[in-house]
Amino acid sequence: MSLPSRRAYIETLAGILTEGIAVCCMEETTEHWAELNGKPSNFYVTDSMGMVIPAALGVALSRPNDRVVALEGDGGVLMNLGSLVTASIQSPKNLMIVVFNNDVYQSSGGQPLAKAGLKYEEMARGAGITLTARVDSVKAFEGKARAFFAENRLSFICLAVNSEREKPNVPYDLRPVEIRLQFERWCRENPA
Amino acid sequence: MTKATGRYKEVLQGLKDWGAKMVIYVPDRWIAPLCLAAEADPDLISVNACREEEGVAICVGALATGTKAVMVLQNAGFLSSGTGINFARMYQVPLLFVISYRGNTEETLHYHVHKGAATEPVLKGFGIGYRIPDAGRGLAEQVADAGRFAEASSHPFALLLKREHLA
Repeated sequence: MSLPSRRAYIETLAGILTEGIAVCCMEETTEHWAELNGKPSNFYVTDSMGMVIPAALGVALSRPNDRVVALEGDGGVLMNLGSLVTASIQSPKNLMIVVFNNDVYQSSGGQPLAKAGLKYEEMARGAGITLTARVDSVKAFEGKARAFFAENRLSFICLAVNSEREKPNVPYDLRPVEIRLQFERWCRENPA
Repeated sequence: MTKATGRYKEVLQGLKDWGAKMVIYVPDRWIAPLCLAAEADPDLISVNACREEEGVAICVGALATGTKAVMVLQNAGFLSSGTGINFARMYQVPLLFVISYRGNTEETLHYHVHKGAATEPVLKGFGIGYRIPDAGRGLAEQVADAGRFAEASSHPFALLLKREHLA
């Protein structure tokens, strides 16, 4: 069975997360999300592997009335596994963690992770996050995402994704300071 | 043994005077009273992170929303947070580090000495300004000034606190 592309999952989420904040890991995830759902309420994490889940936690705790989705890669999760525990301890109701799982460092050229076949959703459960799922189709993702949003509590979805590189149709060129200023301005204009 | 003086309360007051709303921390023996006081303060969101670098990223996320967040940690944790520090610098957020300065001349534990020797050179290497509070002014005032300076410069800034500031 062929696995969906990252873009296909992102298109699906863009159709669901019509309001709220996305905190995106670098390169393809940011590029496709920016093309498909490019709003000032997005916070794109340039480089900084492993920083997406904690950054999204900081956003979620600061903006409790906004739905926040962290879009992270499996390599980034492995670089900061403790962040699942911290997220679980805080358990912000408005945070969903979505992990693209293809067992490679996609953004740095597709090198294999130290270990393939890991069960990230089980790691999340072990960290104390009780609402978790693993999906391998966009249809299943849409169902779980809608159901988990309706639960209104911390959740985690692992997406089995292929590792083919896919260029966005629109070039992405935002620099970190622009990202931060744009996001901060949006937050100021839309008080928590 | 440093006598308990309650000066950590002055540090917390200084953070609140600056406007801090969120305190992220990984405790050590020196900063534990400050961390506990932050946890007990109903006006603050406190987050006990598993690792310092993760805490730095939580701060960056919070600061990007406009929430004033502070990272409280030992210098060992600062030294192991390179990616997080780079993240904060790239996004030019006013992140205030409150660092227990282990391994300076008041240190009694040999294993802190090497990290003490590395702390100021590493701060300089990252281009992060820092200050050790002096005895001439109130501690709370100097802490609040440090937060205001981070904000004015849109850049991380560090307070290196000795044991006497945290007892």
